Amino acid sequence: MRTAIKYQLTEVKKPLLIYYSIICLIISMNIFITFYVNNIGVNAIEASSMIFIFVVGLNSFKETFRMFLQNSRSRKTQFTSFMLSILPISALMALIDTAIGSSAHSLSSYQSLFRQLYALRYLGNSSDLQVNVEGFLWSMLVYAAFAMVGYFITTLYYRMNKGQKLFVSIGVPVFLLILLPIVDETFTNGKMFPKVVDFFLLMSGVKNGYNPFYAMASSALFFLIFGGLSYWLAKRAVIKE
Amino acid sequence: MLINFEDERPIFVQIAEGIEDAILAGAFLEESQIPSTTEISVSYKINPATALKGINLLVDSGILYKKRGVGMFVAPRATKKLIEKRRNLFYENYITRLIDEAKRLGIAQTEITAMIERGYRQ
Amino acid sequence: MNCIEVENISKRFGPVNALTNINLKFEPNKIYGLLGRNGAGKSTLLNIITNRLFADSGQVLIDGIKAAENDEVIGKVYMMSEKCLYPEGMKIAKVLKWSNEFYPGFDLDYARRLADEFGLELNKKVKSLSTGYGSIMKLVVALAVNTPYLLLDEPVLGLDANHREMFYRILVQHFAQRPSTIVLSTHLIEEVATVIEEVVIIKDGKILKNESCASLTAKGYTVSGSAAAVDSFVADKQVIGSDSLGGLKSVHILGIPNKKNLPQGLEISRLDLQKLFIKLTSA
Repeated sequence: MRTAIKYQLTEVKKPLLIYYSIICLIISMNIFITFYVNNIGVNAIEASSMIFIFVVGLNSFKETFRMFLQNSRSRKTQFTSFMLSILPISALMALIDTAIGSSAHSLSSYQSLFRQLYALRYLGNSSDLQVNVEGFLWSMLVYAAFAMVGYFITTLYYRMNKGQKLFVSIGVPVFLLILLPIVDETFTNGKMFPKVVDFFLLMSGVKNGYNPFYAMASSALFFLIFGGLSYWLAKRAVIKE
Repeated sequence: MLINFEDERPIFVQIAEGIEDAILAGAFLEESQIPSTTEISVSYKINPATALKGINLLVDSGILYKKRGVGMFVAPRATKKLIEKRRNLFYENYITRLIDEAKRLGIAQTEITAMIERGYRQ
Repeated sequence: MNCIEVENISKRFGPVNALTNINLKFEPNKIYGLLGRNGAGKSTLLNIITNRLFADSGQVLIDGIKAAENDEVIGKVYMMSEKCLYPEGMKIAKVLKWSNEFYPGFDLDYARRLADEFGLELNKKVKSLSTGYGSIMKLVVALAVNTPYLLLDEPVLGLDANHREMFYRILVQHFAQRPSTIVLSTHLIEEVATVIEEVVIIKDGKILKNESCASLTAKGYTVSGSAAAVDSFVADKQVIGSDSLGGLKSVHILGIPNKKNLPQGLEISRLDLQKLFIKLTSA
């Protein structure tokens, strides 16, 4: 298991380094620019981190699965080692992002996504420490959830045959973007969309007094649900010819 | 020695005969060590079990003996034993076949005798 | 207990019965030949043993323990597959490094020496290798991995004559020095005939023969000569096949030859594994 975790972590090391080199470059350029030119610059690197870790999740199944089978490791070990490596990776990224956010914030007009979303919560006399700790926890759990969703999608695609892939690839967008609006328009008089928006606001905690702990809880829940589904898919996966 | 994989005889018998030939030719001297099973199997790319079977054939007939932890050695008086054994097989292995082929080709007995005499003169 | 036991394994792919009720045992420190034509089910069987595919029914025991999804047990088996499962972008040096991490018995120095001997460049990426060098890379890992069980699926695929020769020599040497259970799955019978001790012949997902190489080839012989003489000689014998060339004929017979009663002009030779295999597995 130690080797398995080491392998998973090593796989992410290089893209992670590249990603943060780029981020650091952008942020320092941004500080530089806002310092001298006073322009509206880059904000909310958490959003790009979410995309990054989602892609990491997407890339964490197929090659690793084959590599692990070649090296006599079970599906169980592969899954567990992914879970156990994605949490420290999320934590590390959250830590870096919080640190960047905090220092960039004091040097420029930089606003982290967290500060933007939950600005009202910290309007009073909350300390920077509180913002950073809560921001860190929030980022970490959201990242982990994004990674897990990515992992789930790639595992699902691995398990599906060509026809099923085509069906899902076309069916899901069609359902969400065409069918659902039509159904909403004709049967529920457009009440569905506000409800969906409402649900997301509730999940993110924006609705209940800008409480990031709501978002943390729902991220953790997403992590567990998609983790469970991924495991269910991964444990019967086989090599394909 | 040469191993002919098309030969009618099993490979382990051929291995044993190859070692016998080497002893008769003086390539493996009495009381000297012969190549190990591993060396034999590697050079002919045969299963070590087959090589061992061939060697054991010679151990059983007293041509080779084993020195524990060292390897296989040619037994004293192995050459003499082999000559005796081969002499006994000479009629079956060579004369019968010679006559078979001679009959097929219509070579008379006198012609064969003449050939043998010529062979010895050379 | 120290063996791989395959018990009642069956596997279907859609309408095709890939394997039907396979029972097998791979005993310690022997070299097996798993022989069958393309598509006979060899790879499927090996993939099930190594937890890469799941059987529809039956089970695989390694050293007496159920193998499916058990790291500790499947770690005793290394399988070189025809298909490359290493990440395409990985360098050969990394493949060796990770093999060293994943298998406690892996001999990194030996692997590097072998790579050097075969002319395998360590700084190349997996995807840049030709079929032959892809096989060589996997063979280098397989020969250095030192697991009690080694399964090699079409090991010499794409190798040239020199490399093949080298591989068999190194395999025999390795086996003689560090015995392990080796299964050579191939359709190139002639090449492995002298290396293997036990033979498993598989056809259409069923086991046709499972016995020692020696006893299998001793079960029959080939008699050749003029067609008429051969035909009269084999009239009362169990014939499994024949080849003819003009008036000459060779007939493969099951049974023990009686050399004393051999009519003139007929010759007896050993039934070779390749011929026996072709006779047994051709439609």
